This record gives sequence, C-alpha cells and structure tokens, in this order.
Amino acid sequence: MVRFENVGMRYGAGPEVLSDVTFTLPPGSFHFVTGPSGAGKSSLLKLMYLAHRPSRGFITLFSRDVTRVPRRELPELRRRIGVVFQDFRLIQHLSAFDNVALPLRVSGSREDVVHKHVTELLTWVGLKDHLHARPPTLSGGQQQRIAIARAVIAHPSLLLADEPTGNVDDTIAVRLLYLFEELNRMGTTVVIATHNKSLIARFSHPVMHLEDGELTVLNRDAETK
Amino acid sequence: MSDSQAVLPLSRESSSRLLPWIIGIMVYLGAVILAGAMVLAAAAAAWNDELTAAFTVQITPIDGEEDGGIETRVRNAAKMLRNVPGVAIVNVVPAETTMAALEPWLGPNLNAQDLPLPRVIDVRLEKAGAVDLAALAKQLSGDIEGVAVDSHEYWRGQIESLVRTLELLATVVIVLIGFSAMAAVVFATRSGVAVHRDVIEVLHLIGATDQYVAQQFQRQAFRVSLMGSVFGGLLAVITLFGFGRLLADLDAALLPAPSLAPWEWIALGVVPILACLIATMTARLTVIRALRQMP
Repeated sequence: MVRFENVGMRYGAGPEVLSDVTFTLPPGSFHFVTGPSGAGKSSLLKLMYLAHRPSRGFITLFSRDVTRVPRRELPELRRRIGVVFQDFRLIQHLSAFDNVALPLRVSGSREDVVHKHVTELLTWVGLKDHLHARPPTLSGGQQQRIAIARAVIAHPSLLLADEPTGNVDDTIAVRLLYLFEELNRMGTTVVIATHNKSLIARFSHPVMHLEDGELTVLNRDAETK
Repeated sequence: MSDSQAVLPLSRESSSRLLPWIIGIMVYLGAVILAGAMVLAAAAAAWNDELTAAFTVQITPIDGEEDGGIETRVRNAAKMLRNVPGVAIVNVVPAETTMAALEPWLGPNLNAQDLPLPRVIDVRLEKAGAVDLAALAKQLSGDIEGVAVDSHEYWRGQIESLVRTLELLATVVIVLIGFSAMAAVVFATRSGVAVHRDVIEVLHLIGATDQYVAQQFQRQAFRVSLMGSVFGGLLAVITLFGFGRLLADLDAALLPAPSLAPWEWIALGVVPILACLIATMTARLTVIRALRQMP
C-alpha cells in the first residue's frame, strides 16, 4: 500500500526535515506515528497525502511510484486518500454538510447519494443538528468531527490523520479511534500521527517513531513505555 | 450547493464587483465603434456607387471665341452625350447655378462675363461602368474643342483611402478594447487564485482536478461578463438609437443614413456574446496556468 525507500524531504533550500526514511505499510494495516513536536510527523504525512514530493528517494503508493507520477494523475490518487489535517482545514464559508460533501462532489457523485451519505455520517459523528452550521460557529471538537467525516466520507483506501484527537476530550478521542478501527476493519489502511501516548497505549497497533527527521523506532513496546 | 455557498466565494471579492462594470464599458465602446465603422462603410459604399455611376463634363471658354460659342459647344456636347448608350440623364448646369456656387467665395457682385468660367454638364449613368469613359472623353474632345471629362476618380480614391484608414483604426481600437477586457479578467482571476489559495489547496488534496477548480472561476467570469455585457449592450443600443434620432433631426444630406441593416444588428449582438466567451476562456486559461504552479 505505502512504501518509502530512503526518502528525504526539505522545504525549499532548507535543511532536510526527513532523512533516509524507509518503511512499508501493508494494505489494511493500522499504524501510529509518534515523536516530539518538529520531529517530522506532519511532513511524513504530507508526503503520503501527496501535498509534497520528496527531495530524494522513492515513494510507492497504491503500487504507483508517486515521485514520478504526472501531476494530472494526482487527483485520482488523492481521491483514494482521506486526510484529517491538524488544523482541520475546513472551508469556513461552507456549512458542515457542504464541507463533508466535497470529496463526493469533486469525484462527481450524484446529489441524492451525496445527501444520503453525508447526512448519515454527520448523524453518526453527533452533528445531526449542525448540518447547516458553518465551522466558525462550532466548537473545536465539532470542527474536528467534521474534518474526520470529510476524510472518511468517500471510503478511502488510505486514511491519514494528523493529531486527530488534539482538540477533544479522552472519551471522544477513544470514540474517534474506534471509528478509525472500524474503517480499518473494512479494509482502509490507517496512519495516525499523534503524540498522545496514553491514547496509543489503549490500542495495540504498531508505532513508528520519528525523531529529528529520522524514523528510528518501529517497536511497539519501546514507544508506549 | 446554493450560489451563496459556492466552494470558492469569488462573488464577494472587490475585483469581482468591479469586473461587470469594466466589461460593460468595454462592450459599450466596442459596440459603438463597430456600429460607427459599419455606418461609415455603408455610407462610403453609397458615395462610391453614386460617384461611379456619374461623371462631369466641363467645357472651358476659348480665347477669342464669338458670343454664344460656348453655348453652342455645350448644346452639341449634351446632344452627343444623350445619344451615348448607357447614359440615363444629361443635365446641363446653368451658368447661374455655377455662379451661385461660387458666390460664397467670390462675393455677390460677380459678373459672369468677367470670369472665364467653364460650363458643366452633369451626367448620370444607368449603372456604374455602363460607359467607357476614356473612349467617350476621346470622342468628345475630338469633336468639340475645350472639353474635359471628370470621372471623379480622384475623389473616389480619397474617400476610399479615408474609409480604409477609419476601418483599420476601428479594428485596432476594438482589438485593444478586447485586450483590455482580457487583462482585467486576468487580473481578477489571479487575485482570486491568490486570495483563495488555501481553499484551492484543500480542494486539490481531496482530489479535485484543475478543471474542477477552473470551473468555479469560469462560472464566475461568465456570470460577471454576462451582467456587464447586458449592461454595455443595452447602453450601446440606446446610444445608437439616440444618435440616429439626432442625425435624422439634423436632416443633413451629406451625412450618411445612420440606420443599420439587420445583419449589422446581428453583428452588434455578437459583441456581448464574444465578450462573455473571451472572459470565460481567459479566466479558465489563467486559472489552469496558475494551478500548474501548485503542488
């Protein structure tokens, strides 16, 4: 599903924020990515959701070498990836419904299908009464749930979440993780970047540790202790 | 998704609010200039037809000619001309008329006997080119002394040259107006891309194609250019009708009839449609080009 080989990444002419990152995520796997702030977790996810190209190395996604894939083919690949951004990146002037509906609409789904699925999902994440509310009128937790709903609405093959539980209490955080596990059971490969060790400890999924741009640990026990 | 909830709220930008006015003014100027060029071309064609279907014969006085000699030559020339096939009307211009035409320059106390003024015969043909003027001039000058034929070729050349120049000028101005409108659309579109860069990035990351994003800008460009075109087009029609009425009231025989033929009204109707198409395509190409710079 995802394969990194000696991947390096830098922003512009700056120093490398990721160095010689190598790993493979099999289809249907569930991984946490952890590490201190500035370790490169977000950068790693940016490479995975095709927001950036690596400065060196190879990345294979859905059996495609995405370091060389033409730009015109990126949308098709991106539609197979759901992303929960750290800052949500909701479109502020759109309602919760329209934000969640976007991935379906950009892929050309019929409006009746959009309406059915979006309403169901927003109901499931507890926002049934806020379908037409705009993000600025909602709490951080509610916005986060919209962001998660938008990421999963199109049943992505790969789900990437950058600190998805940063703005919610432990109860909701665990509930969101259960949602991700549910998707994972349905075949979605899940990668969650978080530095919430207590949350990681509640689940038995493998952990990748990033520090100073290097992927140093792939050891479950060492990370959660 | 309602219009107020468009993915990119382009209609709320200041550049979008100005664009209909800019396009409206461009459409107005383009339509008025095109109408002017068409009226001028029609008038020039009418003038040309009139001049090619007529010529003037001048009979100049001869030194030492006996009294009434010039009148005899005028009568003979007129008689010859009336027998030429293709000649419709032969009008001998009275000497008094020639004097009256010169009065504004030479004063009212002019005596015809004092000036060696030529006599003029105005000849109308059944149709343009109905008579070989060179052969006729040769025949007339062979039979009658002091005869000159003026085919109006000089004036026709002058008018044709003036009309061509004005047509070229109108074309250049219309093209410049088109470029100005395109520049305004490019500016507004680039501004829109810059302002909404974050939203465009999100759209890309959830799988939107460049075409999907470009459609948002295209729709907006079409909407504002349609508003501007309707405004500019209506204003142009009002102006043309008003100008037509003004010319009609002037009753100026030398000025061309300001009316437009049906196909010319259709040509004017194409101006706003063209403006909408140009604005829409310019927006699309500008966005696609800008998006290619994004990841």
